[in-house]
Formats: sequence, structure tokens, C-alpha cells
Amino acid sequence: MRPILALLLVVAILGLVQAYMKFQASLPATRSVQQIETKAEGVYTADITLTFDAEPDAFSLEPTSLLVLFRGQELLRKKATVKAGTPLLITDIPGMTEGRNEFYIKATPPEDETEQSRAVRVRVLRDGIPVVERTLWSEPGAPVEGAIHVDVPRVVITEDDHDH
Amino acid sequence: MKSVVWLSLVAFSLSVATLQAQDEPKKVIVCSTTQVADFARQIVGDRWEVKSILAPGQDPHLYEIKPGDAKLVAEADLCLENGWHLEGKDWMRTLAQGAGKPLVTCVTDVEPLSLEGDGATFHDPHAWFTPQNATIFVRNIVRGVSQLDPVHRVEYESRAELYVNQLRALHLWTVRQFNIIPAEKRVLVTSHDAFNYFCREYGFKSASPAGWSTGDEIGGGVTPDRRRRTVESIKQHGVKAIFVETSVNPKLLRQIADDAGVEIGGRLYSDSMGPPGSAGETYIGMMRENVLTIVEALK
Repeated sequence: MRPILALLLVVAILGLVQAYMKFQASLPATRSVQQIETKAEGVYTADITLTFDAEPDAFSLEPTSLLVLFRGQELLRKKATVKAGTPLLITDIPGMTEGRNEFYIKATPPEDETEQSRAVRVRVLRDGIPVVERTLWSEPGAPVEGAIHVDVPRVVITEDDHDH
Repeated sequence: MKSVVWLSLVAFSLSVATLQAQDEPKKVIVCSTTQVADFARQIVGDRWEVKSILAPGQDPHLYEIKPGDAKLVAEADLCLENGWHLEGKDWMRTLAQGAGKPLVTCVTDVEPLSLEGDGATFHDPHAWFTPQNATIFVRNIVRGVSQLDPVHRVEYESRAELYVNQLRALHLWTVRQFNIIPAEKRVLVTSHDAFNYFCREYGFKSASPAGWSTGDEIGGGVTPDRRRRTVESIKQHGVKAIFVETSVNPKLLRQIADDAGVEIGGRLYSDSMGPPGSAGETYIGMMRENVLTIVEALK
């Protein structure tokens, strides 16, 4: 009697597990909360100046001397040597929004320079006026690598604005 | 009644475990050498099963195919070899082609070091001995697994990015460590010619009684002339210590140490990594231990 009871219990439990899994699979995908992003006003540009000659990185999946990403998208990728001291311009950065914007920058020093720290100067400009200016530094021998944040103030539209 | 409840709980646990185990089966990579297998593990994580034909400490030059190897390769989704004839008589290529499996040759795109011997010129296959070349191995493996499993390409690339940064740290650390050894003392005498890339990168002269292979390929094996030149080289450069290799019989090198009147400085991992639980069970671990052994003996 007891083994039959146990068997019935097992069948019942398995049935419940199966039913639960089917129910879970039938559920609609969870709806994500949609964030409304407002495009920032003005034309944003950037200039990047290296204090060293950047060379293709031997320790990367795609040897690159200079890489600039914005929201995971490539803004700039140089595979050849980039000379020191000459500003590189990125004109009209697409997709700048109100709130925090993040750029990722990586520049690789020559492989035989293992003892020195290196720097990269980055400026982000709005309509030609600098809004952020930062210098990134590297550990000796390592690439200069890091994130630059640009905070664009949110424009608050008041009732008065509508009246005018 | 108590036993009924217990029995039901056990059965329930088993059924849940079975349901979980019924997940998608893992793809399988079969690698020729332990180094290549380690690179592959760093890239695929737990998503693939990685198997190595060579066990830690085994010599790829002398390895002969065993019946179980064909079965292993037959179950593989992807095969990886070092290439440039490291695998004596190209045994991995033979196995992969026999089973009709895709094969990635890890030395592809490496700038080869050319060796000469017995009137022939050939590429030195021990390319993994610089972290820069190890990065090229990683790139080739990422490409291979991503072609077979493009859905998870970003995941493989992310793991690889982290790993190649560790290789960069290894390289910079190695440069700093060797700075302790005076330039004129940087002579590396080992059982066979496995360390040419390493020596070129870190400013060592290399010497060994055997050629690039411990086997009988062209340019490989021990000859009386090579043996004599190695002893002369040790005496000429005032070498303090010479090194045996974990995957090569140390007998000959011990005789040479006696002949030249030098010490054995330690054991270096060369064509194979260390067993699980040892410091050399990973590529980075084996390189780190080699560097520490060399610095300790030659400084």
C-alpha cells in the first residue's frame, strides 16, 4: 500500500512541476519599463589629444591604437599609429541625450614603453564651447583606458514657457 | 507514513535534477595540447566542454595516437591544434581530418621564427611562449567558436578581452622581473629548443642539446654536435644554471650540467602545463613559475 501511495505522490508532484513549467513558459515576456530619452540640444563634438604615439594593441582581439565608444557604438577606431600632440576631432556626436552620457576611450602606448605612465586629454564641446575637459592616465606600460561622463542638464518646461 | 514522505521527497529531488540535466547538451572542443585547452577554457567558460588529448607533462612531439583519441575527436564539435608540426607527424590534424571535424590552427597569424637545421628551414612551433602570441592563439579560438556558435559571440569576446588583459599584466610583470638579471647573464639553456620566442621577447640567448623537437623530425633530436656546442656555450657565457623541462627526460641535461660544471636551476614548464592542483596548471601559472625559477637561478 505504502509504495503505491509513494508512487501516486511522485506522479502528483511531477505533474505539478510539469504544469508549473508549462505555465511559466506560457507567460508573456516581462514588459520592461520604457525610459524616455530626450535628445540633447546643440551640436556635440569632441577632441582627443595623446601625449604619446599610440600603436596597435598586441593584447586585444582586434589590434587597435585608439578606440572611442559611445553607448557601445564605435565613434572612432584607428588601427594605424596615431601621432602624439595632434588633436583628433570627432564631429557631431550622434545620440547625446539629457542626463548622463558616457564615452569609453582606449589608447595603447608602444609595447616597448613599459616603465612610463601615459596620458590622453579629452574635451567634449557643445556648439564649440567646452563642457567637459579631462585627462586620463595609464599605469606604466598599460593602455590609457577609461570612461568620460558628460552630464547634460534636463530642460524643464514650465507653464510660463507655454504662455509665451 | 514518514518513509512515504521521505521517498516522495527523494523522488521529487531526482526528478527536478533530471529535468535540469535535460538542458541543451554542451558542445565539445577537443584540443591537442594543455596550453591550447587552457586558452579555450578561458574563452568558452562553462558553455562548452573542453578536453585535451595530451595530459599534463606529456610531450606533443613524441605523442602517438591512441585508440581512445579517435573516439574523443569523433564526439567533438571543434578541434584545436597548435600547428607548425608541434604535434609530431601532425597527429591532431590527422585525427580531425579522419573524423571530418573543423580544425583551428592556433599559430595562424603568428609571425614565425624561422629555424634552420639539417639543411632545411622551418617555423618554430613553440609560439605560445610570449603573451603576445598567446593573444593571437586566443583570437583564433574566439573566431573558431564564434563561427560555430554565433549567438554567444559577444560572450566569448568579453571573456577573451578580460583574459588578454591578464596576458598583458603577465607580460609587464615578466619584463619587471627579468630586470633583476643583468643583460650579460641572460642565457637560457634548456632540454630542447622550446624557448626561442620567449628568449627573443625578453632578451635572452638560448641554447639546448636538442633541436626544436625532441622527436626525430628534420632539425629535431639530440646530435653529438649540438651537445658539444651547448657545453661550449655554457662555458663561454659563464652560465650559472641550466634548466630541465617538465615534459622532457632530464637525464641528458643532468649529464651536460656535470660536463659543464653548472647547477640545474630548476624545472621549467615547456611543451605541457602542470597537473591539476600544481602552480603550472594554467598558462599564466606556468609562465609565472618559469619566470620565478629563471630569476631565482640566474640573478
